[in-house]
Amino acid sequence: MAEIRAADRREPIDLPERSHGYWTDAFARLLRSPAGVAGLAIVIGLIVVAVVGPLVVPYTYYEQDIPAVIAYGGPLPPLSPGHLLGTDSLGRDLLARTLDGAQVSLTVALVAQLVVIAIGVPVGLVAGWRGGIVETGLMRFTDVIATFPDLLFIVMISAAIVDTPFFRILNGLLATFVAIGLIAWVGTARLVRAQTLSLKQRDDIEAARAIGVPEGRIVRRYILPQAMGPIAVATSLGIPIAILAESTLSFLGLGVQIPRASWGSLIDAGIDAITLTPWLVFPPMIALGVALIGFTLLGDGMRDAFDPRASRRR
Amino acid sequence: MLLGYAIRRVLWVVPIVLGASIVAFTIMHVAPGSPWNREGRQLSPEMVERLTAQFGLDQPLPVQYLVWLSRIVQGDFGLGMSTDRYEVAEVIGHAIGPTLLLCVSAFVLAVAVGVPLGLVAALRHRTTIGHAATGLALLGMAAPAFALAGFLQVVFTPDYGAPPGPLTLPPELEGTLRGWVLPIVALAGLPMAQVARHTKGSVLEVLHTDYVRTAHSKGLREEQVVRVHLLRNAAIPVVTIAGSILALLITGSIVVERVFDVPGLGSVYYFAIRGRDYTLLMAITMIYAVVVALANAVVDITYGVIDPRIRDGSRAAPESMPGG
Repeated sequence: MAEIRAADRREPIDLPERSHGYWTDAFARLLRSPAGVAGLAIVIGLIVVAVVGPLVVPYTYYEQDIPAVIAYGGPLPPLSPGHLLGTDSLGRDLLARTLDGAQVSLTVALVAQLVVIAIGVPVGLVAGWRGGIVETGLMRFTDVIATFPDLLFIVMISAAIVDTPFFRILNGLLATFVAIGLIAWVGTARLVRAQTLSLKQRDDIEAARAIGVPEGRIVRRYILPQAMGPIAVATSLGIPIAILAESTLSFLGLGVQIPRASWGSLIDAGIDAITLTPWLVFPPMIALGVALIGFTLLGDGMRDAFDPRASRRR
Repeated sequence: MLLGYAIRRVLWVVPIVLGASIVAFTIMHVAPGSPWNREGRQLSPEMVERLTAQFGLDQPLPVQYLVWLSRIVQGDFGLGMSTDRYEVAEVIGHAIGPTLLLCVSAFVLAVAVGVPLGLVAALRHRTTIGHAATGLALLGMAAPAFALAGFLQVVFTPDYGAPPGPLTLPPELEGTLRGWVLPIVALAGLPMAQVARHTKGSVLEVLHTDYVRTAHSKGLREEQVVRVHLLRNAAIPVVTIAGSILALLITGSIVVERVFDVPGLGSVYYFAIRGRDYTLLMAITMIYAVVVALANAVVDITYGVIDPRIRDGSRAAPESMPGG
């Protein structure tokens, strides 16, 4: 008895863990790291604010309170009656616009990651499994993309498509998903290919092939589930990069188009008069910073959770 | 041995840059829409036809590419596409100096602050000092160039009638500060954080290796362990991110130069995008491509110097960080 109690008092991490399955274990490890929990909390908080906020704020992002601006003689400063964060020079409520920016940024980040998965995972699987010309072509292409700042290609694609009628759908949101997704899948494809190559060598896969399990079934039932962890990690680490890309695009006037707001376009709009009306720039700047920290922490936490060896070293 | 490796690696730059140029050229020319009738500008059909012929846009795409490539190799970047014609090469020639100075200074600053910060965060892991260093690095992650640039603009308000900020400067310092110091700091923030995070991770990893434990147990002082065993081995993963740091500097410089009105390549790029000037855009993109590809070559050769296992081929160079 005494021995068992002594064992109970040991640090939980040294005990052999009872496994509850791949995802449950990873999630439990995520919840044990303070940074991961903080990241998760920030991200959930952001999503809640982005969804609920616009319902609570009495103004929409495009409504103009012109009488107030004329009466005051310029953009209203923060804590004005009715406008908690003030307004821009057109009388649009800054809180409402920052919240709309949150919706835009989160939507772009998540949808762009879906595009990345939709292209990157199949290409990586096929390249890794089949080899041959698909693999060679893919690897040469990823070499080119990887040796070059992603954002420059993304900016070029946006600049090329943003003025066309089709991509004006959703105020430029569609063009932004496409531009980010078309370049960012490369990293995921590389990762999935590497994962597939190493899984291909394993005995169970070889056995499955030997007894004649159809290839499609092997890839779906054996390879894909085992590659899901790294894919999840890569996706969550890609989100802050996508958010930064989106706000940089909007800052350059290429992302989300008027009247919708994005943190990047709000910063661009306020930056010329920043010393006179700093309150126009601070809310989107702070929101962007919080989002970047939140998703970075969450991504780091996910990486450690899916690679317990690495997390124990840290 | 190392020289042979270096030469092979530098030669590899050529196909990479060619590949990048094909991708960029295709994106630019396959896209729908023409560069002429934009933003309310209405040109007559004859005018459009003449401009299209003048810029060779009626030729098949591969022909256009080869013509463009052969000119660019000779240093002829062509004419800008906006209303006032200018030699692209001339514009870039004026702009490249400020950007180079800005980026190199920011790189030096990011490494000079980031490496010690990451080292402290790792060696004092789980202490107050360690937490402070980690927190500082995390704060840098939240400061992409345009956020930090805007913040610095407000803190150091110039003295032209605006309500003074917390720190208004004497006019004689104003120019240097606003022209150089603030842009460099704004640009260095995010790279600094990346360097610090990466250094911390890689030092922590090395700290738990057997050879460091052995070094400790045979009685070396900590400072000796760090100097002899830790720094060299921890340096390899840190060198890996030099390429993605460069990417951050290039994209960051576009924003920082716009905020602080630095007349560099980033500002030119910003206006090329705003004006959809494809000639100018392609030229700048190719310059960035060459610089980045060469920098990656230098990084790989540096691995060879740090770690002999890489240059004799018994160990592959680590792949660059994705998402740069």
